[in-house]
Amino acid sequence: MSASILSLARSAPTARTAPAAPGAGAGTQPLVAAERVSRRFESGRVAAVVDVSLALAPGEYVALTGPSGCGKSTLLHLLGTLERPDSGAVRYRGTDCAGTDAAALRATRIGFVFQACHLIPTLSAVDNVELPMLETRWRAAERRRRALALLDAVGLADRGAHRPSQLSGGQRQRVAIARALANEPELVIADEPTGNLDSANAARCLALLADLRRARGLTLIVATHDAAVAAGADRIVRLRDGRIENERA
Amino acid sequence: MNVAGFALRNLARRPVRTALTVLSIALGVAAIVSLTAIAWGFEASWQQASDARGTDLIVTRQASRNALPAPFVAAPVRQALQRLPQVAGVAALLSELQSIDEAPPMFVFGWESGSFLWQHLRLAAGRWPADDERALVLGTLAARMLGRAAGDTVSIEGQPFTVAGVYESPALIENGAAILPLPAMQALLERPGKASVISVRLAPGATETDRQAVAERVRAEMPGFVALPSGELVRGNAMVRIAKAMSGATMLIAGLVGTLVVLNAMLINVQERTAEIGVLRAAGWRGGRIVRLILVESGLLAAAGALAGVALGMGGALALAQLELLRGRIDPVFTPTLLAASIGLALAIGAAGGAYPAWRAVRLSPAAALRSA
Repeated sequence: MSASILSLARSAPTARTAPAAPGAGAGTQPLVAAERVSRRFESGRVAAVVDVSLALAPGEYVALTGPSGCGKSTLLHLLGTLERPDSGAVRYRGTDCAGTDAAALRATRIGFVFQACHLIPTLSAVDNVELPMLETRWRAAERRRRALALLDAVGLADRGAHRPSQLSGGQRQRVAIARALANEPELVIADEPTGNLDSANAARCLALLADLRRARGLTLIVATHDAAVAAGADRIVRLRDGRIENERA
Repeated sequence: MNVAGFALRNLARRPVRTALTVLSIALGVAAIVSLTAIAWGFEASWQQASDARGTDLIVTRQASRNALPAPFVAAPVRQALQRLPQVAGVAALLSELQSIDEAPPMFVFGWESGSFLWQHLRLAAGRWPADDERALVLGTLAARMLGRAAGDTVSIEGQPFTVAGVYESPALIENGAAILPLPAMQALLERPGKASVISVRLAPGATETDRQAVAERVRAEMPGFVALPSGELVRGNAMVRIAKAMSGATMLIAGLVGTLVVLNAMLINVQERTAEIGVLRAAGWRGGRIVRLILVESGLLAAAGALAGVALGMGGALALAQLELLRGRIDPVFTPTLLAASIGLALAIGAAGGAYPAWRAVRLSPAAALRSA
C-alpha cells in the first residue's frame, strides 16, 4: 500500500494502517473526488458513467438522483473504490486510488449501505455489525463492545442476538447502517437506502443517517429516487445517461 | 465472532448439502482406511505366522514368490540345508487352501512332525496327530467356525480326518487353519515327498552375516531356489502386492472423487453467496481473508469427513474381517501412519476442492459481486 494511502487511516487499527495522520490542508481539499471518470460495461457497448467529475467536501451531504439506469450506483461504486474507472481518476484526499490498496481504504475510511441491506442471514445482528471489524486489530471483546454500542446508536440495543429474518425491514436497514459505521469511516456511501422501506421506516432511517452524520462528522453521499431524501442534502446532483445533468445546492 | 465461526455458520446454512458432502468424503476415507487396513493386515498376518514359528529364512522356488509356492521335492533341498553350519533346524511345509466339510476354504498346512514349527502352538484340547494316522488339529478359530471339537471327524476333498486336537497360536492365520502331519498332507494333495517351502531356523546367536551366508549358499548350490527373510517373501507375495495396489488405487480414486465433491459443493456455496462476498469486500475484507474463509469452510467439511471416515473405515475393516471368506486370515492393521495419511489426504482434498472456488470468489470485483444479487 502506498504511504499516502497509509496516511489516510483513522482510528480503526488494521494490520496495514499506520497511526492516523490526515494530510495537511485537508480542510481545503475534497475528501473524495471523481475526475472525468468513465465506466463502460459489456465490452464497452454500455456506457454507465461518462466523463463525470464530482468532488465531495469533508462533512458534505450529497444526494445523487436520476432515473433508473442513469449510472448512480456505478458512480457510487467508483467513488467507493468498489471498481476502477476505465478512464479518469478517483482521488481520496488528493491521492489517486488507482494502484493503491483499495481494500485498506474501504476498511478504514468508507462505509456502505445498500438498498437490499445484504446482511448475512446466518449471523446475528451484532455479528453482522462485527464483520468489517475482522479486518482490524481490535480484539474480540473490543469488537463486540463496539458492535453493541453501534446497535445502541441505531436504536437496536435489544436486537443484537436476532438474526436478520427476525427483524423488520427497517430494523435490518438500521443494522446495515451500524455495520457501515463499524470501522469509524469518514465517508458513508448509501445506494437507495430507503428503497425497500415503507415511508415511516424510510423517514426513521433518514433521520438516523442525518443524526449520525452530524454526530460523527461524516461525509455522506446517497443515491436516491426519494425526493424527501434529496431534500435534506447540501447538494443534489442529477445524472442522466451516465452524465451529470445538473447540480443544485 | 471469527472467521472459523463464520465459516461454520455458512456450512450450517445448507445442512443437507453439508451433510451429503461430509458423507461423501467420509465414504472415500472409509474405503481407504478399511481396504488399506485389510491389505496391511494380510501382510501382517503372514508375517506374524512366520515370526511365531521362529523362521529365520524361507527357502522356496525362485519363481514361486506367491502365497502358496509351487511344491517341489523337499528331501534334497532339506538335506543340503541341514549341512550348512549356520543352520540349526529345517522344516518342510506344504500349504493349500481347502474346504473342510462345507465351510469356505481355509488354510490347511502340512508340517513335519517333531519340527520346530510346532513349538509355538499350545494344545487347547485333545492331542497332537501322529504321522501314521489320518488326523489333524484345528486352530481354535477354525474349530469354532467349523463347529468341531477334538474327537470329531471332518472331511477334506471327500476324505475323512479325525480331529485329534485343538490348538491355539499367537498368529491369527494359524488359529483359523488346520494342520496335518506332512505325510498326510502330501497324500491328501497327491504330492508325495513334496513341500511348498522349507523353513530354516538359524543357530542361536546367528548374525545378519550368517543369514546372508546361508542365502548365498542356497543361491550358489541350489539352482532355482532362493532363501529369503520371511518379511521379504511376504512383501513380494503377489496377493499382498495386489491387495496393496488395490488400496492404492482406492486412495487415488477416493481422492479424486472427494476433491470433485468438495469442489462442487464449494462452487455452489460461493455462487450462492457472491453478493455477500461483494459486501464483505465492500466492508474492506481483503481477498486473502475471503480465500481463508472459503478454505476454512472446505477444510471443515474435509475434517468432519475425515473423522467420520476414519471411524467408519475402522468399523468397516473390522466388519470385513469377520466375513466368512476373511475370518481367521486377516487382522486389520490400523497404524498411526494410516490414520494420519487418511486425515491428511482428506484435508488435502478440502484444500484442493476449496482453492478454485476461492480463486473465483476473489477474481470478481466487489462491484461485480454486488451486481450479482
